[in-house]
Amino acid sequence: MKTLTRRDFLKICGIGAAGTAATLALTSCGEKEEAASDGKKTIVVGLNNDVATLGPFDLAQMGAFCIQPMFYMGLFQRDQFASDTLLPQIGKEYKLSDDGLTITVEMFDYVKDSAGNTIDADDVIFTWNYKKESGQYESVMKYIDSVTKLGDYTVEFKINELKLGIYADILSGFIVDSTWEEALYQTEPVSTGPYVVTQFAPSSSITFTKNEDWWQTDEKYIHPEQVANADVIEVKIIVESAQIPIALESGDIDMCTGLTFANARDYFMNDDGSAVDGYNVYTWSSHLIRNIAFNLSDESILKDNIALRQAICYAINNEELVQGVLQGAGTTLCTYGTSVYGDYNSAWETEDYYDYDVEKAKAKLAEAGYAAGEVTLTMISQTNDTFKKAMEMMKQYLSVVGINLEIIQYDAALYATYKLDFSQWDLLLDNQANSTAMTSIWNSFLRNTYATWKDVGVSVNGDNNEELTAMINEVNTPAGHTPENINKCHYYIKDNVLIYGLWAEQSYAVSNTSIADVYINTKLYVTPGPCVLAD
Amino acid sequence: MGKYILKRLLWMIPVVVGVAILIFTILYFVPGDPARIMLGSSATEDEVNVLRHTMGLDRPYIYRLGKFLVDTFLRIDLGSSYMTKLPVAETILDRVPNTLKLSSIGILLSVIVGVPLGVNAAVNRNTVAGDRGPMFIAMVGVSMPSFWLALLLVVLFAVKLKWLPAMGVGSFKHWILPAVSGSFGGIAAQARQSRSAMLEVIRSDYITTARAKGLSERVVIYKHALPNALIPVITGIGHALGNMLGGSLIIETIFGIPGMGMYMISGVNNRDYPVVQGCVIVLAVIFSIVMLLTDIAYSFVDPTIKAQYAKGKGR
Repeated sequence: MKTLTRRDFLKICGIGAAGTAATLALTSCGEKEEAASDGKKTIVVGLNNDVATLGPFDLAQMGAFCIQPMFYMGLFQRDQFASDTLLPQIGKEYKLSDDGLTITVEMFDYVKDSAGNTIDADDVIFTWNYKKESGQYESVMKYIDSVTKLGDYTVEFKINELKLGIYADILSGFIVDSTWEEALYQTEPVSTGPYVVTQFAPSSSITFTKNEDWWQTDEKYIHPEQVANADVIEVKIIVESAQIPIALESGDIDMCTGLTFANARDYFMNDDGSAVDGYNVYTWSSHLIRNIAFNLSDESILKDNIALRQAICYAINNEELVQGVLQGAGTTLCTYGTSVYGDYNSAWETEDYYDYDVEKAKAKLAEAGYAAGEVTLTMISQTNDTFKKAMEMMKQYLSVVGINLEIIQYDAALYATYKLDFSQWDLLLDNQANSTAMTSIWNSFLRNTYATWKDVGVSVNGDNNEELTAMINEVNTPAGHTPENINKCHYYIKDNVLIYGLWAEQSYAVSNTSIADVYINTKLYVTPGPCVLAD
Repeated sequence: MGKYILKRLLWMIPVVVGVAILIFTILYFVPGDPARIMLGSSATEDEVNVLRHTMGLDRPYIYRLGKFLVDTFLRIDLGSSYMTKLPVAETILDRVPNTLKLSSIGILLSVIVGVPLGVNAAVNRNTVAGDRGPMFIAMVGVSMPSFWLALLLVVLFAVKLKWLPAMGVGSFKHWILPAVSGSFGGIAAQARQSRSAMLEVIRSDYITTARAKGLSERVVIYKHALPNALIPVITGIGHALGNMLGGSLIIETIFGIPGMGMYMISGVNNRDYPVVQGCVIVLAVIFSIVMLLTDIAYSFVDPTIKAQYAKGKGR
């Protein structure tokens, strides 16, 4: 057998290299360029939140909140953020019993998903049984006693307690066909909405194509979230924040969401705040409440020391934080809530909310029993540039009054673990939001049912406060959701300095001029389908 | 030689099993609860506990490790992603071509550009145009972070000149910026490696002899000197391919390329253990194979090594 010589080897390497290069070039050239327009109205959208799965019941993906309304539908959906008015989707109308504990839903009798399955009462029951058996939806399921089929297209929900927003919580859940296969839906969803997913690369790109055979043809019943203006929507997931404005500027995308004010201003805004030529800038108030939670678990030095908590609040200059961290694109808060919620009381804005006062902060620190420099606290947050800047500024503010602050940021996974470990932190820089009401946020985070710490139910700040829990329970019922009760809770939280609202931000989206207006959905995210295209 | 290859392939088994045990143990002890991440911060303790039980996360370490090893190595099943519920092996197979394509183009660029630069620098040593200039650029290239170069290239070629797309996959053009920014450090490293290897060789007696025979400089350099300087260069290529496979996650994230790196990053962020474990095992196998091919390549370049392998004295 002929031995391979060194020269042969070098030749083989050369040929191999050339061959590989040629193959790569050919295979790449064979790939398609971006979808040709072929007369279809196509938009390309950049999304800065990851979408790893397209399952209907994946809870913690902010990116999914933007796109889900294009291909999943519930029985009903709110008409707008935090509203009580529900508009038809798969359900045509619903009736409440006199006591409000029975909901009878009549569905449209011509609903079909993109696989051709008819969606009827059996599918509603299947969906609810699936969610119940999974055990992961207890926060809603615990209010439902039964779901019963009354006819092919009629179902009845029996609930055991009236809670604020309970009808929307129950009726807006997505409905899937009883042939649902969990794994398949994660990447190849069967759609009940106006678009179908024609391509999905998890965490990279999704292509939606308008479903020309969509079941809902009666315009008066089309929810604003389900308006389909574009024929094809390509969504590119751009998790690298520096790439988002670049992708828009280079023409790779037509619209992007989730921009910071600094990016929007630096790339797409004139000095007077107007959009530069060739672009449209959209802004709206975010529902996220940025706040500091005080550790009130039994071991914490903040637990029985209101004066120390007050000293911290007085030491922080909220106005300057908004300027320094957000370049002014935000508003300071006067409660644990923001003005986007319907139950917010604008009268609170004129009252003192521990407004910045160094002398008062020093006096409160002395009242708390500490000399300057004697107390050191640990503040944690999730890794985030905005929070990082804010934490650094707060460290300076607190040092002025004599409180030492150690700041630590954790990635999302670690943060989710450590925020429930009350031995890890004294102050938690956090954000919360909700689509129902401000009091619903109090309900989720300030009652003693939020977490368990040392076998006791506690709130987000490790507190087992029965009095506050009872007050929040009451204010979160339709009958108890009165201005008086809301005020009572607000002042209790404020006077006892349980949690301190810092600021709310503006959200930004930017498009080129192929898009004339964006649609902000009922969760305050941009949904591309109903965005208005320029002529 | 066949015996040697077989021996090396068998050695890969304990190496990959060791890597699997190590990555499983690290992930087990790293704080962060996948169930909590999947359900979000407003989920109740009960909801999280139910999901943890469903996912088997409440089982003891030794049980989970045993199950993982049996599934991976006896059933050849890398499991399913917690997030997408899709088989990890299937997803890796979908994504690995993008990563391999990126790495291969990067390596090709490193070799095609880096090696001639290094050879030229050695032959023209101490000249500004041939040696000091390119070596200065190589020094900058080695020192420059790839993500920073990537963003600069994007701003220049995608935003200002509009010649190339800023991100995504599709046509050949989409691969140019990721490959260049990913391989720039490799080009620089190859140039420096080739230069020093060539400098060793061209001072040898047999090169003087070749010149004395009246051979042209081109023949002396490319026929007599270069092949003998290739061993450290091949070593460098092997390591560079490994580094590119492992380091592709930065480039893939910046350019939105759905490859293994991006998959692994999302797995790490979501504490999606099967994804991270699967990717690490696949990378370990690929890296082991690359190292084996590197060692085999030595034997073709250096007959003395081949003789050692043949006698069974090789590693």
